[in-house]
Order: sequence, then C-alpha cells, then structure tokens
Amino acid sequence: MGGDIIKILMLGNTQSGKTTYMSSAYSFLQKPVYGFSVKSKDKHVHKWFLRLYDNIRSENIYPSPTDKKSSYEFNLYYHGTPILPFEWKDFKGGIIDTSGNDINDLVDDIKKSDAIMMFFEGDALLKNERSRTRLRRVCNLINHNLSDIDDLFFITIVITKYDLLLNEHEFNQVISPLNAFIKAAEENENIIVHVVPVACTKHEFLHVDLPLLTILYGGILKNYINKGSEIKKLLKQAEEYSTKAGWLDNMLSKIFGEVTYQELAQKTIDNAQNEYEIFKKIEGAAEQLGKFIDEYEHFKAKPLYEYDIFML
Amino acid sequence: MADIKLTIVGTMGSGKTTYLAGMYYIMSSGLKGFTLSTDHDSDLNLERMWETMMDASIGVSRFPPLSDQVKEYEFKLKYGYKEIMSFDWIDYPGGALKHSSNSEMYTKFMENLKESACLLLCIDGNAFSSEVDDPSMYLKMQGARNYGQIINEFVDQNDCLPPVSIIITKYDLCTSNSTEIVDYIKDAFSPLFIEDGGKNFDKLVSIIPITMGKNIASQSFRGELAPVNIHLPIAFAIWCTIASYISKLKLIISETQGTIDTRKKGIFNRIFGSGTTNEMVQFLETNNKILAKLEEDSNRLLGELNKKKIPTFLNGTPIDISTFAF
Repeated sequence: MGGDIIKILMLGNTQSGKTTYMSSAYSFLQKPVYGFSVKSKDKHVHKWFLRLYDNIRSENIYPSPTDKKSSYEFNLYYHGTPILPFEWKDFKGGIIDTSGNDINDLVDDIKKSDAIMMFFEGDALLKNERSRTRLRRVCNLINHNLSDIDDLFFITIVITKYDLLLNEHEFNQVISPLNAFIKAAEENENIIVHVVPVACTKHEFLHVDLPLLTILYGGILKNYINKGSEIKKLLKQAEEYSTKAGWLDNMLSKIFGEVTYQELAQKTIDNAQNEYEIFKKIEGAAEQLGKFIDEYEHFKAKPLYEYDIFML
Repeated sequence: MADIKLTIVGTMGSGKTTYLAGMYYIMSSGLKGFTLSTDHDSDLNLERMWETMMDASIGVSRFPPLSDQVKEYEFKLKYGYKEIMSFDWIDYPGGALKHSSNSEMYTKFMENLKESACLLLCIDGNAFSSEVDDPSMYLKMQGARNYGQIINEFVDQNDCLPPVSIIITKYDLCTSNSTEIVDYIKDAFSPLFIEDGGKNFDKLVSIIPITMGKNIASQSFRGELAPVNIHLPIAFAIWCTIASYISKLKLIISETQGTIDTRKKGIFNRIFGSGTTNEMVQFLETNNKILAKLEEDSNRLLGELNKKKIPTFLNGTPIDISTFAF
C-alpha cells in the first residue's frame, strides 16, 4: 500500500540543527501521533537516533555537525500499517558556502526531490545579516534547479532554536526575509509552503513532530492523487474492453483459446476495486493528518476535495 | 542554452555592474511573485558584490570597480516558480566599445546584438544632476555619441534593431524633471527617436530610471541600499520578446485554422485526409494553450511597466503600452 518512495531533502546552514531535529522528530514519533508513527528500516539508525535524542533530553548534548551527505530510509505507519516509505537526505550544512563541483551532487538531489525541508537558525536570522544572505542562497538553489513543478511539491521551512527567540514579534522579524519567497510560492498552486518554529532542548521539545508530518502529508497526498488517476485509467480501460466485448468476440476467443474482452473488462474492474480499497485507506490517513495540521494555528491543511479527484 | 540574449552596454561609470548585482540580489529573493535565479557559482559571485555594497562604512568603494571584461550570466525569470523565460545577460564594459573599431570585442558585440532580444543601454543619472550644466553634452562626452554611431552602423549592416531600453542609473542624483530628462535623452540618442523612411523595422525604445537607493549618495555614499525600479528593464525586455512571440504564434494559429476549415469543406479531404486534419487540430490546441500562457505572462509584465508609466516610444512617437494588454 506504500506507493512510491518519497524523497525528502534537507537543506540549511551549518549548525542550523538538522541532525538534532531529525533525531528528535524520529524519537518523538516512536509513539503514534494521531495514529502516525515512523520507523527506520535500519536497526543501527534507529538506535543511533534514539541515543542522540536521549543525549539532548537528559544532558542537552547536541550532535556534532554533519560532515558528509547522509541518507536514511524510513516508513510512515498509520495505525501500525506502513503507509508511506520515504527517504530523508541530509547534506552537510557547509555545502551552500562552496562552489564548483561540490555543489553538483546537491543540485542533482534537488532535481530528484519530492519535498524539501529548509532549516534556519531563528536566533541567527534575527541577528546576523550573513544568515539572511545564506537563506537567500538556499532559496536560489531551489528556485534555479526545480524545473516546472507539475505535481504537488511541499516545502517546509523549519525555524530551529525557537526557544532563543523572546516573543512572537521576534519570530515575525525572523521570517520577514522569507516573505518574498513565500509570496512567489503562493502564486503556484502546486507548491505548498509551511513555516514551523521548533525547539529541541532538555526543557522543551516544541512542534518537533509537525515539520516532518507536514512534509509526509504532501507525500500521502501525492500517493492519493496518483492512486486516484490510476483507478481512473483502469476504469477507462475496462470501458474500452466492454465496448469491444460481444458474441463475436466470445466466439472468436473460444476458437483461438484467448481471453474474451468481457473477461478482461471484469478483471480490470476487479483490479480497480482493489486499488479503490487502498485509495480509501490513503484517503483516511490523509484526512487524519490534515486534521492534525489544522490543529496548528498558523496554517490550515487544504481540504481534500480541492484536489479534484472525487470523481470515481 | 538560454531562450534569449540581452545585451547590456553603458556609458563610462554608469554603474551597470552595480545595477546587475542589486537587481539580482533583490529579484533572487522574490519581488512581487517574480524571481530571478542563476547557477550557484554566479549566485555566489553576485552575492559577494551585493555584500560589499551593503558595507556602507567604506563609502564609494562599496560599489564594484570599473571593468574591462565582457561578463556573461544565464538567468531564469520565473513567476510563482514557473519559468517565464531564461536569458543570457551579456555585459559589455563601459567605454571599451569603440565605434568602427576592428577589435574582437566590437565584432562579437555586433554579432551578439544581432541575436539579442533587447539592448539595454545604461546612462549615468549624474548627467541630470545640478552639477551638470549641459546634460546632452555631458551624455555625449560620456559615450552617448559613440553608442549612437555604433547603433547606426548596426542598423546599416542589418536593417533591423532590437527594442532598446535606456536605463537611467543613479536616478537619485537627478534634479531635472522627467520631461526635461526625456528631452535630453531624445537629443543625445536622436537616431533612436526618429522614423526612418524606407526602413522595414520599428524602433521601440523605453526610458527607465532606476536607483540603488534614494539616499545612497548621502554622507559620501554611506546611504542605505534600497533599490527602486530595478526589475523594470528585465520586465520590458521579456515583455517585448513575448509580444513578438504572441504575434507570430497568432499568425500560425490563424493559418492552421484556415487550413482546417478548408479541409473540412472538401469531400476528398473529409474522407481521406481526416488523420492529417486531426493532427492539425491537436497542433492548434497545443498552440492555443501556449498562447494563453504567453498572454498571461505578457499581462503580468505589462502590469508592472504600467504601474510606473514607463515612457515608451515607437519610431520617436510616445505610445501607451497599456493598450497591448490581452
């Protein structure tokens, strides 16, 4: 039922807290949230993330900056059933400061990604012009290398170290350099941008599940839409078979020992029925995750009926 | 390879590179839904220039030094992250191009201009400041005469001229009023503003004032960077290109529609030529979709130009470009 693997790419400055966030979100989602949980496909990765999380929670010890590209494969579970496989790719933070060949690998991954998580340190964005410059640089990398987006594309901007910001006013100042990027994205019906502040300290873990779940919501919607189109195609094919069916086809098929168009039509309808059951499960998960996102006061999930696939 | 080429030249010290760095930095962050992007290395290069410009403490040294090299960049203009058009930006050093020179640069410039969708011609706004008694003479001394001759030579050789956008840089320094400025420019670049009898092309020219900040020159160039109008020259250049595409595409659509109508009338074609006709109908549908997208993009760009009522001239006569909206 999982569908295609969703490729999530993480981008951000050095020490913007990507690995901290990954381990925190992963550990947090070991217990289901609205029925959703996450599991690594690799036992060592599972243990490693839990250990990193434990270090933060008990001692405020944070992971050292990532010095290489890392890629992890997970599954999103809904009420214990794997519903969405995803790959989560983390680039070393300093890559956006480099030029030449080093960047080609990243460009390639941007082109292949289904969703992007951008990480910016809240406190640094507030006080440091260089951080704002880097933010623009990340936006350029994405903008230049994403070709025409014909499919749903989710971007979640994670403002880390939210605990260091004093109030909502400071948060608004932090996101002000992002407004032009968000405005441009709003003009494209296929791009959905969310901005989520997070904090991962031994005193508080704020919104750690939200960025990952918003991105995975995009993945579920994508599968939901694809499944809908698949069923549509199957039904159309069944209809085509039906128009070719008849006594002549039955007779000729019998003579030549071939499957009749009537049988082919029935088989295709059965396939469509099976796919429809999966589709309904994905729909249930999407609705539930949409409700979870609605709970967050800063944004609302787009209702499913707006995705124009209630046409079966 | 980019969709089109834009050639940019300017009088000495007109601040083309400053303009480029400012325009890129602001537009790459997003401006009214439009974005400009380039490859990562060029991005870092332009960003470095912008960061230096941000350093007000160094006064006039914050601006890029004069260059004697041709620089090329490839950009993508997008709206809502949907590509409108990609373009090569070919920047010729101020004062390095000399009329009728046999230099490699001059030959290459003539070739590039032939392939360009628009010529962006930067002039120094200081020409219209209180410090200058005779702006027309000042412009000529700064190279306007030279560019006038180059353009004449180009027209003689090619019997065509791409649309021209005259960009008044450092507009914050201008003290003359807009009517006077337009008159001075028309005088200094007079060949661009006259109708040539017997020529087979039109001369479309816009005049766009830009600045890197209204008070940037204050306290010995320690003022705040706050660019104004910097997206308009690109908007004009791309709009001209799209408008030209639209008129060509409309012609193709109309001819195809005519052929389909004729075929539908003939009994022979109705029986034996239905396959070809269906292909033509599909071709028509595809082109109508492309046309709709082009018209949408054209209206967006025109909207930006109209907001500022950009002075635009066709063969020297002022025109209202808002009438070109679809």
